[in-house]
Amino acid sequence: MKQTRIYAIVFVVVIILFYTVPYTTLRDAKGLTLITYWSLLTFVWVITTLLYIRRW
Amino acid sequence: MKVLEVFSIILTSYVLVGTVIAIISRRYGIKSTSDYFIGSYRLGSFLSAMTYAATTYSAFMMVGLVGLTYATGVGALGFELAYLVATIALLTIFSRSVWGMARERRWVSPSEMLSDLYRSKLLGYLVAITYFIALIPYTSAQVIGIGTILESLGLNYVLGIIIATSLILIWTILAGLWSVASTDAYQGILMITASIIFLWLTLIKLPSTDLKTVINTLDNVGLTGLTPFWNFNTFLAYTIPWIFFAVTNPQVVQRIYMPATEKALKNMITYFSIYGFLYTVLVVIIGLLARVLTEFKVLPFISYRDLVTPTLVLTLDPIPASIILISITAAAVSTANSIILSVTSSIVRDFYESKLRVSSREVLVVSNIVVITLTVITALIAYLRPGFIVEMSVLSSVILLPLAPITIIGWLRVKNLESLKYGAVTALICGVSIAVYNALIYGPVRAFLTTVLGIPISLLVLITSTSILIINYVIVTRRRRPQIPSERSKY
Repeated sequence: MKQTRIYAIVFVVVIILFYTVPYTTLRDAKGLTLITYWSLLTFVWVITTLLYIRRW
Repeated sequence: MKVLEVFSIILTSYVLVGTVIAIISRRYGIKSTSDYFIGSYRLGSFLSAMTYAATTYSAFMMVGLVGLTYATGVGALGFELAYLVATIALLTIFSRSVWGMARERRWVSPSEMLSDLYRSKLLGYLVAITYFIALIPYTSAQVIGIGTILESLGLNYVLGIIIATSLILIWTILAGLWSVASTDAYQGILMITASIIFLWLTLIKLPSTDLKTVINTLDNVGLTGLTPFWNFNTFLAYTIPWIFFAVTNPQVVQRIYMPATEKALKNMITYFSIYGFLYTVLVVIIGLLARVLTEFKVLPFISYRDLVTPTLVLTLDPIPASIILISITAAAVSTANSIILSVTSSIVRDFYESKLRVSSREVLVVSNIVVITLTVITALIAYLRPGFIVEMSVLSSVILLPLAPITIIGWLRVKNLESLKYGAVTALICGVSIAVYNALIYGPVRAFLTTVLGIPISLLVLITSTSILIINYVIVTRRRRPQIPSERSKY
């Protein structure tokens, strides 16, 4: 239960990062910056989730 | 050979292989509605994951998302990946307990689940009606997509509707969920394979494969950053309904019940995550490369974004072009028959099976009749293409949005959930009313992006329904608070 709570909190943080960073820091990003940011964040989230559900 | 001839041959092969798979799946046997709608909680890892993926990803990916990326840039990637991140998280947080509860309480339909959690039959009926209002136009849009593909090849639009309707019906009725899930797996493989082929052939078309040149070209048209289209409100309007897709759409909620074991459930999430990530990135890259081809004058500028994929596909060799077009058909069929089966389960379980004492055989006959009726309604809408109803497909996830707080609070197993049943009913009615009212006032397409007091409609629907449930919870909790002895002595 405690682990699920931590996972849920991390999820909220990831979603906030998903919205805020592109609309603040990366607002004028060019090249591969934004595509890399969103892809990498999602990739890290997928890996985090896969590691987490292995502990079920 | 011309594209039309090759397409006809590949389409025939696709239909035959799918039908053989559906017939083979009959060996699992259908004796009850639990077998028919959810495979009696017996799906293996692979089938669970592939049916989840093929149901979730509709023709929107290869047509809508490619075009959206082509026209509006990388913001489209953020929108689609936000959906994936949230879906994986919601599945990970809730699916294990929902999977367990579904077995324990014998849930078959998602409306039945909410009705049981809140101990409110009225809620179950309203949810089933909401599914019907929101999802039948969406399913019609899938059928229209198949008709349009055939039309673009010079075939008759009506023929496309007949093919789509026949596939939805046959692949559903043959063995219920078993034939739907088996054909979903087949179609899911076809979809990802075709997207890889499509990407490869688009790459080959580039006059220069130098990454720097490609990126500079996209930079020059401003598609590597946030274009004016993707202002913050638009991003919110697009993402909010999709972030909660996994808890609001019955066809995917129901898929949480289905894995045979906890290990199969775990594998479902794992395989779906990988599939979703790959498919999204591949499709977005195709959209960006299509735009580079336009800038290099290999493709003409395409102002209507849903025509980007058909235009690009028709420049390819007949065989890969046909495979890609069939994969779009597969994505549409796999989404459509899963929705039809899911909406049918809600109608049959909530309005018929729970009220009357009937034999399993009778219920299965009624289930088939409802599947046929819904499919015919869908086909009629696709044939007549009434503007408003077709446009309502855009709003389907917004109409379903009030179910997000209702479902999540239900899954959290808040104490005395029954006392929130009036709040849940009110939240659903108010949320759906806001979405439908705005659709009537502005038209469904405009309503999707309209803001009220600077808030997108989708966020307004979510805030309203969540607030109603919270107010109900606060009132109930205050009433229940025990009086302290000193206060009691006053009276």
